Amino acid sequence: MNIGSRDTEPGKLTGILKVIALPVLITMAVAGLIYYALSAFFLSDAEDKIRNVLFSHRGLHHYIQRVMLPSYFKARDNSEVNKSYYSPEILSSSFIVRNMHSFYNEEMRKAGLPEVYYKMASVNPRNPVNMADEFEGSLIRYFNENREVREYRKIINIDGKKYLYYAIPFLETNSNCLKCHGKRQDAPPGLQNLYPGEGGFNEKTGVYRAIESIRMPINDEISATLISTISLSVGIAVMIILFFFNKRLKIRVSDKTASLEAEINEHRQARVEIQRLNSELEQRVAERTSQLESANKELEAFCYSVSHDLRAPLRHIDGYVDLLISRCRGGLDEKGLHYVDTIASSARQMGILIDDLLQFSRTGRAEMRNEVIDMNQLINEVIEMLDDGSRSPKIEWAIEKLPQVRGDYALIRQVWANLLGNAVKYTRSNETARIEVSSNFENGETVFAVKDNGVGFDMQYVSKLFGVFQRLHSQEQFEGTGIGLATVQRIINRHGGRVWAEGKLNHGAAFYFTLPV
Amino acid sequence: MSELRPILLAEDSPNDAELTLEALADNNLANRVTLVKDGVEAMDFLRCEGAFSKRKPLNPVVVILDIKMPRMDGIEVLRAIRADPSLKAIPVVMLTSSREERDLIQSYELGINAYVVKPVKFAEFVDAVRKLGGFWAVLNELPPENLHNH
Repeated sequence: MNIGSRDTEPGKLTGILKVIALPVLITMAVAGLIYYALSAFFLSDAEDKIRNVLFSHRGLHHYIQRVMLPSYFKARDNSEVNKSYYSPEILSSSFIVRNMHSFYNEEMRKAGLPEVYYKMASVNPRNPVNMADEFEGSLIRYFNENREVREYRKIINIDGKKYLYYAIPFLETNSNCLKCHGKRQDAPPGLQNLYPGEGGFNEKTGVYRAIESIRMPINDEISATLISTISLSVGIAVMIILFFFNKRLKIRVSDKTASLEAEINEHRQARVEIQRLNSELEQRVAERTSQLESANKELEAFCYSVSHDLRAPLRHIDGYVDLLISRCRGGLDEKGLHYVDTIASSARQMGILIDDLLQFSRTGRAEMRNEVIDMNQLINEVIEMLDDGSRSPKIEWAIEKLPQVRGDYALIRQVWANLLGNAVKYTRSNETARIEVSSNFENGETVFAVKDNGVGFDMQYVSKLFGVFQRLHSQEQFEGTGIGLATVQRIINRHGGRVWAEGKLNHGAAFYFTLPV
Repeated sequence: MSELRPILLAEDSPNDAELTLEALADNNLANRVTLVKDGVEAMDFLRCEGAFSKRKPLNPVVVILDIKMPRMDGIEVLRAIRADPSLKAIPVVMLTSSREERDLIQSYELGINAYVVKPVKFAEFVDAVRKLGGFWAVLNELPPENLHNH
């Protein structure tokens, strides 16, 4: 038991580790993939939104630069507009787009949507509002130095919130631009008046003057990515675990099925073996039975010959003694007559012995019948045979109401005849003879009792009571062959019961026997 | 009444034969008792064959059979008597020391007229034989002898 558990525990542990570790690894790998894919999806989505806004702004820039400004210059050249007129509100694309974005954010706010930070940053702005900070300045230089790079993006953290920062190079100076951004003296006078400094002037063609940048909150996207990743991972983990458990369950079921099949096979083999043993046993029983039957036949033959052959010489002795007495009485003196009497009584005693022995042998081998027996009626018959009422003083019989039993009528009658016969015999010398018969139900069997107040017996000889030829009294005191109680015991045993006795010298005896109900 | 029919006693034991004859003699029967030693002799007597071929063909008033006899036992004699049309009407009595049930049953199945167990006590034996002889030899009326086909 201990060895077994010590053997199985490490195996169980590695099994559990296998079951847990493998799904965890797979889940982690899958979760990484999902996270990567979702982030890419959400980021490109956010980028698209940003580009949308930027391109829309750029469209407006372009409209101002390519449509409104040429119209303005044309009108000025035609002197439809005063040469000194300049207003950033209607002529500066930077100013217009910046303010347009303020309105955009106002609309966003009204719609309950997050505001979008927008900045056009320049290293050389007219309005200090558009002045690039250090980072933005370096970004403008970066774009100018790496002309193939068309965009820059970065996820940045501001006050614990995540934003996607996106910037594109802007305002590549061309010859048209130089009308307002070239030398100060070349710019419209209105512009010159409005911006007294050098900001926005002295630009060179082919150079990016600025960047446009947008910062968009992406906390929701990140949360969505995380939640989706976690929920998908958990789902996948559960599926993997289920898959593994299912696999293990299948293995266990097939193991169990195999072991059950093996067990069934064992049982089948055991049954075949039992059948074989049974048939062997039956054969042996049959052999033994036939041996017993032949032994029984021999015994019967022996009894038959005893009954026939042993009785014949006894009869002859008795017959010739009788003839001797009746024919030759005159030739015998008193002693001679006594001898002849003794010969006759000995022969008679031997005849009784042989008859009793035959009776005893017959109780052992006779076929038993199983019939309902009325004990009271049976006892009355036996008493009638034993006590003709001539004894003086009369025997006092106390017979209780007894239950019916099942058994062989003739054999049970023999039991009562022997027990009650003994009671009658051993109360013969009593002044008052009392014989009681009673019954009692104990532990599933009926106990019958015959009690008398006769000469009784010494309990130290109780073991000899039921033996064949065992007698506790001399032939002169009480005649008998010593077979009666042995016969009683044999009959009761054959009925599945027991016999025993209690007694005290000169204080009566009690004989008990049981019969199963 | 012409000649008295005999009594046939089949008994192999000379002691039993003597005691039975004594008992029968106690009855003061006039019938002659013929003693044979076994079943074969009994059948010879009944069929007037062998040693008894010169005998006057007259069926006995009763046949008393012991069961255990050499050559042919009492049961076989009884069977042969009952199977023979000329003998089957003869009263047959088993006088035996056997108390075995099968002997008793077999005898009655073969149509025995009486089955008497020899008592050990001679006085009782005499009494039994007296009753037997008295009844079968004196009281019992037999069918007319013309059934006898000799």
